[in-house]
Order: sequence, then structure tokens, then C-alpha cells
Amino acid sequence: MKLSSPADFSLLKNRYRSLRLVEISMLAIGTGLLTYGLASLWVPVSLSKISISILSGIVVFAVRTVHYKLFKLKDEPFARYLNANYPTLRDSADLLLRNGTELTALQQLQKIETERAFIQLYPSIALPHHIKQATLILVGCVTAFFFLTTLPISITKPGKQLSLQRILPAPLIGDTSATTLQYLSIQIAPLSYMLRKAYTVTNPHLTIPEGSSVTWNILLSGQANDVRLFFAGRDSVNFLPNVDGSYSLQQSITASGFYQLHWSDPRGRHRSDYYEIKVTEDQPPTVTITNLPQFTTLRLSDKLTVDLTSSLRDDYGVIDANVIATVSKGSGESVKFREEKLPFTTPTKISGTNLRASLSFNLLKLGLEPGDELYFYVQALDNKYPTPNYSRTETFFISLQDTTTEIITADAGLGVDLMPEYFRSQRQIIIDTEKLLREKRKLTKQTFNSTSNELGYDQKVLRLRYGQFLGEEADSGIGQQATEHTDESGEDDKDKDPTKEFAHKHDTENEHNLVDKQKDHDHEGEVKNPDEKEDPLKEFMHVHDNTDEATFFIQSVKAKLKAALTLMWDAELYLRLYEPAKSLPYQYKILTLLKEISNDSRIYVHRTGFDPPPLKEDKRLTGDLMDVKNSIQQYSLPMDDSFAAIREALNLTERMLDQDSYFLSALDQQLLRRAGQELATVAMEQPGQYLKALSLIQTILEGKVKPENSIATMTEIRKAFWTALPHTAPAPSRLPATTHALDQTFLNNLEIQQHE
Amino acid sequence: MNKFTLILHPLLPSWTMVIIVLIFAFFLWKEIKRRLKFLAARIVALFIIFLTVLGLLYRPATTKQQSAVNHLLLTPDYRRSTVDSLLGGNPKLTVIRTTEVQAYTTNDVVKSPSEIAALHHSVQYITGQGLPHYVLESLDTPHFQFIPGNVITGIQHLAPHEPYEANQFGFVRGLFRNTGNTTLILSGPSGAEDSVTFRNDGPIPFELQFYPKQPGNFVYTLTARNGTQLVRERLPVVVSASRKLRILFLQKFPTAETRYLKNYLSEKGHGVVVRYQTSQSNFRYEYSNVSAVQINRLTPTRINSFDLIFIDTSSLKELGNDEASSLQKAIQEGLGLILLMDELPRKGSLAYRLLPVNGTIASDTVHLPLSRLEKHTFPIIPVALSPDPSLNAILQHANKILSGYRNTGGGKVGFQLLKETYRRSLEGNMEDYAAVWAPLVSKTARSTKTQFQIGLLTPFPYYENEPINIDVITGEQKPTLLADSIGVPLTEDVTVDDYWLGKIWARKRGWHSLSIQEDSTQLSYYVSDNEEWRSLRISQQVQENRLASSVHSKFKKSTYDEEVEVSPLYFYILFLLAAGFLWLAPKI
Repeated sequence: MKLSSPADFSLLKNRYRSLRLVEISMLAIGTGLLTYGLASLWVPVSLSKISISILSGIVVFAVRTVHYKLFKLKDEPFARYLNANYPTLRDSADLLLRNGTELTALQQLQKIETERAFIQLYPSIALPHHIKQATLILVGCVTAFFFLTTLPISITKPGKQLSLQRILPAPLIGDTSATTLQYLSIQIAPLSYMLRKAYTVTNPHLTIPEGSSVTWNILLSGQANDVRLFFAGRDSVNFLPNVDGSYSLQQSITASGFYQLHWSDPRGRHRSDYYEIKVTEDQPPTVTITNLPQFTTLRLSDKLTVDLTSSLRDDYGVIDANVIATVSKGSGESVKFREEKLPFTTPTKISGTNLRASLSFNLLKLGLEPGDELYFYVQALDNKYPTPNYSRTETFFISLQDTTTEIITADAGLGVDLMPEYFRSQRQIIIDTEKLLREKRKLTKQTFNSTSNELGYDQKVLRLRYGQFLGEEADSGIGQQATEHTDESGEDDKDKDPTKEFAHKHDTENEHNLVDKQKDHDHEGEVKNPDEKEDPLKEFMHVHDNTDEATFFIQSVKAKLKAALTLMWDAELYLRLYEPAKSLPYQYKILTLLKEISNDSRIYVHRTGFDPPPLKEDKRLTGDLMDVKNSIQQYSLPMDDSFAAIREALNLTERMLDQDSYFLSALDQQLLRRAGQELATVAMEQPGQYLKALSLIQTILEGKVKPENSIATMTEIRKAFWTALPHTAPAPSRLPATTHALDQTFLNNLEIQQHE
Repeated sequence: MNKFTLILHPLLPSWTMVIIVLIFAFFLWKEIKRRLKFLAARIVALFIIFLTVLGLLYRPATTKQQSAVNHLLLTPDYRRSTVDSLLGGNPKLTVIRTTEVQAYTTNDVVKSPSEIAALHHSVQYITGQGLPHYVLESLDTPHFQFIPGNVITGIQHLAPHEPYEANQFGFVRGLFRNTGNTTLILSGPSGAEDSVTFRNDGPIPFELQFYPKQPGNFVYTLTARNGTQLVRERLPVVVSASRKLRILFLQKFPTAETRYLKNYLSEKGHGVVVRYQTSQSNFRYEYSNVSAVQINRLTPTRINSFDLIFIDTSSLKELGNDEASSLQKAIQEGLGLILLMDELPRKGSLAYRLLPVNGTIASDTVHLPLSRLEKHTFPIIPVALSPDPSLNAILQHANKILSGYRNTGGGKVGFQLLKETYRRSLEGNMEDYAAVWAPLVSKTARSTKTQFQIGLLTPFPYYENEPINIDVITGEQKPTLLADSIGVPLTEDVTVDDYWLGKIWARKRGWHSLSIQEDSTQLSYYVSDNEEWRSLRISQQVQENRLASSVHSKFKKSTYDEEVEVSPLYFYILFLLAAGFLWLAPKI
């Protein structure tokens, strides 16, 4: 064989290139397989897995090819390689690359020598390669590939497999030829304002925030069409197929309910179990005022700055909160209101799920004067979109006490002067008492006692007049006047037993007497008229014109007035015991109460009623009824035949359980289906209770119930049906009776006997 | 004294004897005409043939007096000590038992139940559970003395009940014989409905409550749990649908009470007509669930189109004479009337005649516990009602009748003394409101007249292949009774007209129905499993046996007559001999 040197080298290069290509291909294939295997751990869709692995193979191939410069092979490295490894060429391999014309005679001789040696050597030349290593790597990769792909789910997706078992009804798993649900993942994206990240779950029973966008991704084991999602057994939405063979569906969920997956394959229609959707609503913010009582009374001398701290809480965040304050001024008809919206001072910007906000009121800056009141409440808005949830606290009251001004009103519109002159008498008594105490040293004991007693008398008169004012003239006025009279006469009679005077029952049981006047009065009445029996109906009569009720005061005012009267008893007691110092605290309290009562009278401005024009006397009772027709109203109330199918199906289940035969005719199936639909409407409200029964109905309709489970299944369905029926009040009914000739004879004889 | 009597058991009707005599006469004449020897002997032979033919065809029998063999019949659960003492006092007694009864000695005579029935005249004592009701019925005059055996625990008695009404509380009442701690649980379709625990030993009455929501035939379960021991019995419950009424309200003026009552009745689907008087001649009418008809006057046809009339005393007072008399007549014929007392009926008034009152009473309120446990306070009309046997109470509290009705001819006059009951309705407490009105309305209103009424004389439980006695009350029409679409023969009672009796044999376990072909009357009954209701069945059987034995407690007979049939073989041999002689005679 005659070989020219460059051609020889090109053959050698070809051989080298093939070897390297084999090696690189093995590596590339190995890498591709390994990538595929590893990708199955994370990527469920096969198409993308294939592309990733092919890509990785190509990359490895390209990198190795470039690294070996397979398509730019030069001769010199080969010559060097031959010189280094084959001593028979005597380091002259590069001579083979040169033309014979350029060479010296000796070189030519050496070239011929070398050529000969090269030709001899050629078949045995071993070119460098890593085929062995590549083969090992390939074998390893193939093993790994089989390992990763044949046992994929049990090893790679333990969580998903568990959920798969839970979500698939047993018959579907067993039925290998039917298309089954392989994989289900649900992505839940709460609304943006909730500031929550989207998350993925595999449990088909969902608990999601209101309005979330839910995306179902499902993978079926085979070819399926008409893949749908049924909401609450009624509305259905089609799944959209993805390129990788899976299906997905996105829905925004605003209300709780349940859903079910449906799909068809050549073997028929398949349904999943029913799954619950629980929607958690965005709650309105919780607002509380933590540091103030609802009613605060301040004096002008107190510190007139009120610190308000409010705790604001919301499930997704409060975005705004402020204080609405109303200042109420004046009295009677001249009452004025001014409303202001005050922002919190700290923090300046309200935002967050749980925060404390505070504000300092300066009452004087708000324009509060003695006798004025400040009403305020805190309101807050949360970040719900588009309509935020709103909530507010109760109204809080701060009143600035007025102890100096005299209020004299005589509202013409009201017709009754609620501010009679005696309102000033208490202050007079206080001034006199204080004066008496100041002058105690200058006075003789007798004068002191006598003055104290007189003040006591004044206090009593005041009390009687207030009692009259409360509408108790019959009790504490006229009725008691007779008994009190002895007290008055005894005022001058110093010899009278003082214990008797002070042990007066009003003194010891004053509260009882005052608060429960009616009872006392009854008691007295009974003594006076022993013949008069107690009216048994009285307790149950709705009595008008009760003196106790027929006042111009509403309950709170009346209660205050009664309290004032009680205190007056005590004030009087100590005055009459010649201890005016002890009496004074009571008197101050009385004054405060009376002041409050006079302020409360503002309310009555709104209580003026409609005054109709008087009837013309000659028109009364002269109506002509000739044209007045009988009035007729006709209506029909729909009978309570709710859940007709459930009621009918209940008889069916009862019959089946009794006869122990669970064959369903076409009619029965139809009935059970209708009952299932009715049950679904109930399940909308309480999904947890009825979903199991709904699933069982479906299993029965599909004929997938095992015979040994029939009784348990039917019992469960019957229970759900029975529970779903509403509990209605008993209804009267027409009773049956037989008419036997003897009955009539019996009744006739009975009549005759009775008449005898 | 041995007395001979001949009894015939003929195979042919007796008139055939004439033919035989004629044939004999013909042969006798032929025989005399034959010119042969032995005329006398041949005539005798012919007579013998005649007599033997008679003997073969009419089968004579004679009676023979036998000295009685007295039996002691052992039935399940008998007490050995009882048998010992009986045999000690009367050693001649023969002990008999059926196969399922535990043997007393190895020498007992074992008989089948039918054989025992045939021996009834010689059975002197029965001990144990006794004979089942159908065997007892087959004994003409039982002479035995019954000694009950061991007492068994469990349900001893269940009160029979009419079909339960849907949406009304139903009660299961009975008697339970207890040992130890037993809990009795009543379960319905939705699980346990009610339960009761017995702690004392002995028979204890019980009452269990349930609420049927739906008409139909249901099987509830009564479970008795004593420690780990569970006894489950299937309790059939028939729930009937409510039947609608036509109701008329006649009111002088509207009141809150009638307004709410009218709403309640309309909501329940009853036809309601309300008439208020707006002026002397004008009325306001309200019709719900009925077509509009003007009722200016109460005519008999108008009245009879209603089942119940609510009328206040002032409207009643203003009725014309003919209106009042047609109303009274309608009540006599079955109409229900509920009197709403807005004033006390005065003596002599129509209201007083319908419902005599006896003045007023002092108390004017009542604290009444209704369907729930809490007590309600109602104002009441302080009226004392005249004591009258025809007065039936529906709501009663401390001996005071609060609502009820008085039987008046075929109809009823009802009354409600509770006032302001509408407050319960306003509170949304419809159950208590209904508890006040529903029973009164149901019981006072005209009842549905049915032509037929089927009853079961045999008490529950019924078992497969055991007879059930049925009675049917009819209104002058002969009924055709079907048991699960198979005709049942009925016999009319000898003394009472239109009272029919029949007997059926229960078929397999489950619901069955008895119906009348002529109309829609139907009765459902439930056949139980043979193992169920053991204690109830035994206690009922013991009771029946006790009743049967108490009639003739002394066993007097020592002898009895037994029939002995003459064997036909003798007649046949004689016939052959005589006929053979007649054949031989010409040849001799």
C-alpha cells in the first residue's frame, strides 16, 4: 500500500474524530437521560422534561466538540503525538508533512525511512480517547434514569401521592382502564389588597379568603374530554387544556360552597368526590377605646386635656381611622351641635393590622364651656377593595360640669316649665348650712340646733315639692302630708321623744319608701279600706294613668330625681340630728343631681307632638255607609312542600333498607338524583354535614357501591335526608272516624239521657 | 255406664241410600225369580252384601268410654320445681312436651304442636310460656290450669297506637321489666331520638318521644342496652299525612288572637274564611286557600261546607233564630265549633246552651309548661265550667281545664280559656303556639267519615306464618278485604251488624297492607323476624294463657268417650264370602 503522508494524516484525523464523536455522543446521551430523570422530580409535564434533557445533551455535545476542536484538526499535533509515542519513527514524523522538494538529500532519505516505518506502524497506532470512561458514565446515567423514572411518584412526590389517594374515590383507583385523576394542584391567589402571597395546595377541600382567585391544575391519566368543574352541583365551568396535556381553570370565589370535577372518556362520564370550599370573610375592623369610661364628668378646675387611646385591629389592615367629636352647647331649644373630625396624633399615618392610636383632646380648644358636653367616637376603615369595611365604637361622653350658672327656661313650645323655682332652694339650703357651720362658735347650742332643725324642715319641704314634681303628689304629697304633719308640729315640741322622731320609718327605710312608693301606698290603702279586696286582675292589666309613670320625665331623669329625693331624706335626717356637717355631703350630691336633671331637659325639645285641628262637632257620627262595600281579601299560601324529592326519596330508602334489596330502577335513580340536587342546596349552607351523603348518592347512581356496603351507604343517605328536612311546628289535622249505625244510635241515646 | 252409640262417617250423601235400597230390591226380586235351590240362603247372602256395601260406603263407628289420661304440658321456660310439686300431688299425670322444650325426664312424651292441640281435653296443666294464641283459639273449651314459668326481662307491653301524625311529637309507651342498669334507646332514621335508663328492678313503665318529619312507613329501632348485652328490636312506625280542614271564623271585630291563629292555620294549608263585622251590614272577608264565597247568612249548606267554625260570643248572640238552629243542627251532625269568649255566656243564651259555664273563678293566670320544659304564663278567662261527663280536657293544669271540647251529638263544641297565646307566635316559638292550638283544632273539627275501618285484633308483634285476626267495621256495605292484593274471606258477626271478622296468615318479614277494594281505606302492618320482640311476645302469651285458664280452673273430667270406627276390612271379607256363595249356588 502506497500512502502519501498528508493523506495518511487525514485518515488518522478521521479515525481520531470518529473516536471522539463516539465518546462525546455517549456523554451527551448520558447527560440527557440524567437530566430527564432529575427533571421528573420537579417538572410534571413530559414535553418540557424532554426539551430540557435534549438541550442538556446538545450543550454537552457542543462543549466537548469545541474542546477537542474536532472540526479544526491540524497535522502538527498528530506528528508530535507520533514522535512522542512511537520511537520507530525516530522523531521524524513531521518530515512526512513536508514536500520532498524542500528537503535535503539526507532528510529525503530519512523521510523515505520514516514513511516505511509509518506504513508499518499505521494499523497499530492508538489514538487518545475516553470511550471507556464515557461508557461507564453512560451506563451510570442509564441506571439513574431508570431508577428515577420507573419509581417516580412514590419516591419523588410523597405529599402529592397522599393527597392523590385522599382525593380519588376508591372505585376510580381500582378501575385502571378508566381515565382517572392523576394529579391535582390548586393555586390560591388572595386579592391584592390582602397583601398575602399566592400559595398552592393539593388538598381539594379549600379554605380561602373571600374573593380569592383559585386556579385548579389537574392531570388525568388518559385521554379525556369535556372536563368541567361543577359548583354546588349546578353551575359548571369548562377546564382549558394546556399544551402539556394537563387542564386548568381559574375562578374567583366569593361564597362558600362545594365543587366536583367531571370528565368523560370513552368508558363514560366520571366524577370526583364533592369537595368543600370555605370562604373566610374579610371582617370589619375592631375598634375599642381602652383608657376612658363611657361617661366622664369633669369640673372646670380639672385638667381639661383628655388622652384617648384606641386599639385598632383588622384581619388585613386598617387604612384609616379618626375621631368624630361633637360638641353640644346650650340648653332648651337653643341647643347647638358642632361636629369635628379629628385625626389621631400618633401614629400620623394609620396602617397595619394591629395598632394603638392616640389623641389628646384639649377641651378648651374644642370650645367646651361649663355645662357643655362632648360626644365622640372612633371610626375605622379597613383596606377592603372596592368598598372598605367600616366600624366604630360606641359614643363616649365627656361633660364639663356647670355648677355656677343658673338655668331658667320656660319653653313656650313645651307648655310646661321644667325649671321651676324650687331648683334654687337646694343651693340656698347649702349656703345656709355652710353659714350655720361657720357661725357655730358664735351661736348658742339651742339656736344652732333650732336653725339646723329649721333647715331640716326646709329640706323636707323641698323634698315634698320634688316628690310632687315627680308626680307623686298622691304619695308623698297629699297622702303623706297627714302623717308628716305630726313631724311638722313636733318641730316646735321639743319635749317629744327624740328617738321616736329620728326612728321615723322614713329615716330607716327611706330608700324603700321612696323607690317603691306604690307598694307603700297600697298598704296604706288596705288599712284604710279593709273591705276593699285586692283586684286579682290588677297584675295583668295594662294600666294607664299610673301616677308613677305619668310624668314628663323619661326613665333616666326619673331615676335621678328619685335618687335626689333619697339623698334629701338623709340630708334632712342629719339636719334634724343637729349635725349639719354630716348633712352637707348629701346636699352637694343633691345639687349635682339636680343640675344634671336640668341639663337633661335638652332632650325634650324634640318631643313636641302633632296637634291635630279640632273636629267640627256637627260632622261627627254622620258618615253614610251606603257606598261602603264589603272588603274582600283573598290569598293562597303555598303549602310547605319543600324538599318534595327528599321526602319521596326517604320513603324509597326506607323501603330498600326494609326489604334489603338495593336495586334502583330508572325511576328510582331519577328520584335519587333529584333528591341529591335538593340536598345540594342544603349542603350549600352546611357543606360539612351533607357532602358525604352527596358523594354516596353519586356512587350509588354510578352503580359503584359494593354489595357489602349497601346497608351502610343507604343508612347514611337516609340519615342525611331526614336531617335535611326542616323541623316545622305541628299542624292540626282532620281526624278519621267510622260511621257505624251504632255510633249514631249511641249518640242519640246519650242526648236523650242528658235531657232526662 | 257403657252406652253404645252408632255414628256414621258416610262417603256419599245420605240420599244415595235410597238408590242402594232400590238396587237391593231389584236384585232381591231377581233372586226370588231365579229358579234355584237355597232360596233362603241366597236371600241371606244378598242381605249380607247389602249391609256390607252400606258399611263400606257409610263407615259406621261406635263410641267407647275411656278413662282419662291426664297430661301435664311443658312449654318453654317452665320451672322444674313447679313440675316436681305437680307430679308429687298427682303421680298419674303424664308429662308431654314439644321437641324444642327442655326435657324434664327422659320418659316425657314428645308431641308435635298439632298433636297437642288434639289432646286438649286431656291436658290438665300447662306450665311455662303457655300455648300461642292461635293454638288457644283452636281449643273449644279449655280445661287446663296454667302455671306461668320463669319471668323474663325486657319489654313486656307496648301500648297500641293510632298512626302517628307527621310534624307532631309521637310517643312510644310501654312496660319494661328490668334487672340491673338498662338503657332503652329509640332510634329513627337520623339516629337516636330518645332514651331512658332504668335503675330499679321490676316492671317499669316508660315513654319515649320522637318527632316524625315525614309521612310514610318507617322502621325505628328500640335498643335495650344492659352492660355489653344489646337487644335490638325493629319498631314499625306508621306516620300519616295531615288532612286539610275548612275553617270559618265569625268575628264581631278583629283581634290579635284570631289574626295569628288564622295565619297559622293558613300556613299549614287549611282553607280559612274569616268574617269580621265592619258595620251593621258590612263585613270584611278574608279567604286563604279557598275560593271566595260571601257568607252574609249562615245557611245549612254554607255551614256544612266547613269542618270547624270559630265564633265569638258577641257574633253568636247576633245570629238569627234560623241561623242559630241550623248551626245547632250542624253541630249535632258532626260540625266542630270553637267558642271564643269575649264575654261570659249568660244563662239562656245560645252560647250557654252550647257550653254551660258555672260562674267565674278567682285565678286569672296560669303557668303552663308546654312542648319545651320552660313554663309559660298565660292570662286566662276566669270561667268555671259545669262538670259534665261529655266534657273532654285537652290542656289541663292543676285540675283546671284550660282548653277542651264538649261532645254535642255527633259534633263538638270546643273552648280555649288561654288568652294572648299569640305572644308565643310573636316570639317565634311556633312549637308552643301549635301545642296550644293544634290538638284543640284537630279534636274539635269534624272528623273524616270513612266507610270502612280495618283493625287488627291480634296484638303486635306478628310473625311469619302465624295467623292474625282482623275486624272490619263498615257502614252498611259488604267489604272486600285484600291482604297484599289477595282476597280475604270475612264473616259477619252474628250479633252486631256490619262488624266483620277475618283471619290472615302473615307472610315474610316487612311491611304488608290490608286494603278495602271499595275505597282507599288501608292499614299497614309489619311482620317481625321470629327472633324479635321475644319478651313482648312471651308476656302477651302468658297473659292470654292466664285468661284462658281462669275460666275453668278446675279439671273435673276423669273419663271421656272415644270413637272407634268399624274396620272396612270386615265388610269386605263378608262381601266376598256372600258374593262367592251367590256365584257358587247355581253350580252346587
